[in-house]
Amino acid sequence: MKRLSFIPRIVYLLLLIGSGVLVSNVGGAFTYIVFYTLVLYTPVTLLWLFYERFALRIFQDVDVRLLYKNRPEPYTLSLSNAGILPIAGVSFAKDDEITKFKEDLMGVEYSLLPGESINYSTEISCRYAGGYIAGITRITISDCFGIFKMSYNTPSPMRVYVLPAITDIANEDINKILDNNLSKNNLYKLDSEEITLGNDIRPYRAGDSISHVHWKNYARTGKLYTRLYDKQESDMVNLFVVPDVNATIEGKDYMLDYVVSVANCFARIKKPVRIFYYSAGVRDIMIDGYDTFRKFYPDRLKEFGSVGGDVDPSAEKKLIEASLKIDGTVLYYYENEKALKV
Amino acid sequence: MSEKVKRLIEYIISFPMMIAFVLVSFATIKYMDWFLVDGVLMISYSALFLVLSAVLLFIDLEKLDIVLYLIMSAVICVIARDMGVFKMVAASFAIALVIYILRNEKIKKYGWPFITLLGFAFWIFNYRDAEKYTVISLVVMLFYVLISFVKKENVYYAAVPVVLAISLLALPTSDDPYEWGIVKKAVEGVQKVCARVVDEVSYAFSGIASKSYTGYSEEGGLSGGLISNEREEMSFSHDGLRTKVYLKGRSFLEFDAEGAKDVDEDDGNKWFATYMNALYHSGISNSDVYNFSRLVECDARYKYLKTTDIIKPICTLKVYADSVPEKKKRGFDYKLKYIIIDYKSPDVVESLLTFDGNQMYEDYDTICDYAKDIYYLDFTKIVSREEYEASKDIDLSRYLDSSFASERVKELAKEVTKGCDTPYAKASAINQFLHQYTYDLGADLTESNNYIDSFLFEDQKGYCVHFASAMVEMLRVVGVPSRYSVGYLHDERGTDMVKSNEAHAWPEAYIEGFGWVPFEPTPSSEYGMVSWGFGKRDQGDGPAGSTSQDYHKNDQGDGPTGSISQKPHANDQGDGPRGTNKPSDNSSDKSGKLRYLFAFAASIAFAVLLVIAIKKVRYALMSPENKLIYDVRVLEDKIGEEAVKKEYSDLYATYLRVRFRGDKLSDS
Repeated sequence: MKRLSFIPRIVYLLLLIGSGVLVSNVGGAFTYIVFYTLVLYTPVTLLWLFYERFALRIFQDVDVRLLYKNRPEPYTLSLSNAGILPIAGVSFAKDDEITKFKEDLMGVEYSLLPGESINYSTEISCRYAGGYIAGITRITISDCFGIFKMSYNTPSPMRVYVLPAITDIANEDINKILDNNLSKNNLYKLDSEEITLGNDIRPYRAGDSISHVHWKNYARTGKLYTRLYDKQESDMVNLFVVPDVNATIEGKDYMLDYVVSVANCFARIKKPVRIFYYSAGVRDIMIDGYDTFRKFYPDRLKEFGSVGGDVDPSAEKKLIEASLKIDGTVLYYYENEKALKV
Repeated sequence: MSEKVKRLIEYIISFPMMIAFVLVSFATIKYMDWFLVDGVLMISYSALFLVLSAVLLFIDLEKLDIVLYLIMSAVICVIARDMGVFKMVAASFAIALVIYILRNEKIKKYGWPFITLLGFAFWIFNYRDAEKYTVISLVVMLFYVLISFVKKENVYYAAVPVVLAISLLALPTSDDPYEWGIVKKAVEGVQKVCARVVDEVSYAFSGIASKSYTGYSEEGGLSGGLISNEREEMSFSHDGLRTKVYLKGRSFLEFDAEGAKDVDEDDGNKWFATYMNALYHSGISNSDVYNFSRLVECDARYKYLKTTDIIKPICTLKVYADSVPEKKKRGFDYKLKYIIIDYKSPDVVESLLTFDGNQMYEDYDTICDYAKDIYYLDFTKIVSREEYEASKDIDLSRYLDSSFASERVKELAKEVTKGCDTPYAKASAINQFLHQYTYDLGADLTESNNYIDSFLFEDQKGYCVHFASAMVEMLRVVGVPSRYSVGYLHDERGTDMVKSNEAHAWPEAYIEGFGWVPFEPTPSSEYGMVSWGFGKRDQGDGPAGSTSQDYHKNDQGDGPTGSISQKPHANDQGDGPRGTNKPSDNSSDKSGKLRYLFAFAASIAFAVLLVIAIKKVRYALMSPENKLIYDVRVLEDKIGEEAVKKEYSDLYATYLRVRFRGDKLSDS
């Protein structure tokens, strides 16, 4: 198809040259008008393409704020012609790896009369988790004969946040680590019994579970304190998610799946894990049950799951510095390597 | 956007196609002389029909377009009562009918391409007679047809053919092939810009013309082969007689293996003293003198030239400049007063040839009066008394050094001038002899120890430098004082700009009793000097063999030759039919046209009212079932089929039964 797209241009060039030769040798209204037409076709068409670019309005939207990976959601594409001339030859392109539509909106040419608006409704599903540009990413407008084409990025791209699936891809890694800890007399193990909160308290920190708040103490003192587990926090598992400066959608997708898997592991066994991530600073959240897991998934995920934008190059350094001040088992997940390290 | 509005917009966008069809049809009918047609009325009538048809869409009577048209046509025919009008209406009706048929969804896919191809074939066959508007209309039709083949709907791409058509109206056509005047001008413009950039760079870095290219050089050194260059080095402009003029920079006295050397001193205006005496003793009157000389004032300005010399004609009287820097370069301007002499004039030649060799000088006052008489000049302001006295004793010995001449050069010179008894005859003989040699700008004699000898006996080809050097040396051998001069030989008949390819070298021989006379041994046709053609015997006969009349280069033109505006042709509006009767009420008459306009407006108003009335009557006479079908269709047009199904489900169900099952409303 790419080779075939040159045929109209070749034909046009041949006609142009032929008309030039003809008008150089034969006079008359016919040869002149045909020659002028072929010469003027280029600038007039290019002007019209530029006009179309500025007259076309496109808007795309999904009905829900959060999508789920590979789950179809209602999607609307709105086109309108804000100019005084008709527009035609408009086609769209998307990243096929990322976005799928139930009805194929690509490969079709759309035309609009002046002032006309049309809406298309279908379903969209996104393949990867994370925050990124989905849907229609590129617009192409062409003349009626396919000689000239103008392609540009969608002026108002649709940014989505796709939640990862809850999987067990991290189970094996976590088990290995916890086995190691168990051999060192650490209580933590995926299949160990549930542990209970003890009498030790500390001041409340953002992210602590409400169910861990010492309410009696609060009633007495008016200050929030968090109850600690029987075992000291020094035995807590801390996961530091080190972001990739050059993150890709695939890399972010795997990271999210992995981190959610880790969180789900610990939530299921109701054992605490503290997850540290970078979002305008080092932030963390404790997950030790489904209540805290539901806070983490999806709200907290959105804070560090997006692709694009500037990643602070000092994020890794700050996370490492924070990890040095933490007692307990410290794990590092390196997004660029897709690996968990101790 | 409702369906009706959409259809209306589509209809309007397809107007250019239909108007194009109407124009082509009109042109064809007129060409084939089938009907009596009046162009303006024809077009406006058809266009009104199209507009009215669009209006009809609002009241959903598209299928009655033809009926309406018939009614309008009948009204106009009744008003006009003229066969010519009837024919005109019939022609426009036929066209409207064809448009109506071709708009049918089933027919239009092949109908329009067929009509378009037919039109193209007809007018290609008769292309010489095709008017611009006809061809533009065919192009618009072709666009619509091609687009409809390539794409589903052609109306959305209508902007391009419409804009093209409007642009084409403004462009000229011609019966002559296109001469690419604009393109040529653009290319020339680009070439000029590039040449100027090159000139600027070379001027900035070289200062003096490169030895590889032609151009003025104040160095007398010998160059190798040269490449002709047309850099504009200076301007030289005046309003007097335009001919070829020697513009001298300097003269040289001696030669060696590397070329000319030893710059001659400027002898001021002493030459004028000698010259005036020569005229006086020849008995030249103030009417005779203008046969072979003119007093000229000119303006000169350096452009791409850097030199310490002031370039001026060989018979300059005065140089006027606000400031004279040591190194003159671009922008240096000055005025000159000089005398230009036709050295080939019979009067001059006769004077020179008959001169017996004894230079005579009159007294200063006599010459002053004489100069005033024949040239209206104040001699005292040109040659002072001291200069005048000094001019009587000119040392010519330094112009006789022929030490560089080889033996065979000397023998040759003597051989060539055998039998010549006057200096002018000797100079003429040598000049004529050297014309046998070949002019070659690429000649390179820099390797020779004696380039004059090599030129005369071995290579026998060269350019002005070689020819001038050889003649100077040969003249000196035979006792004629001579010097080698460099500058330009500028042909004023072309342009005021002195170009680098006009740079030249020539010999000047001192003819006793007359003064320094330039000769032209270089045989290239560019240097050929011809007499102005004026003389005692030729006075009043005009120039003979001279091209001294002023002329300017012909304008190259722009686009098609002969005409930028369209050639006058049979006017659509005015020149009337061929060989048929004109309408008796004379449609070209202004009042007639107004009458028709009123008739049209009245027809439209009447037609609209009639249509509304017909619709109401028609509806009133409809059966209940047909009324239901009609109402549902109107509703569908307004709010869409789906909405009708949703909001008027019962009604819609009844409608379906009535329409497809033939139920009666009384049964429902």
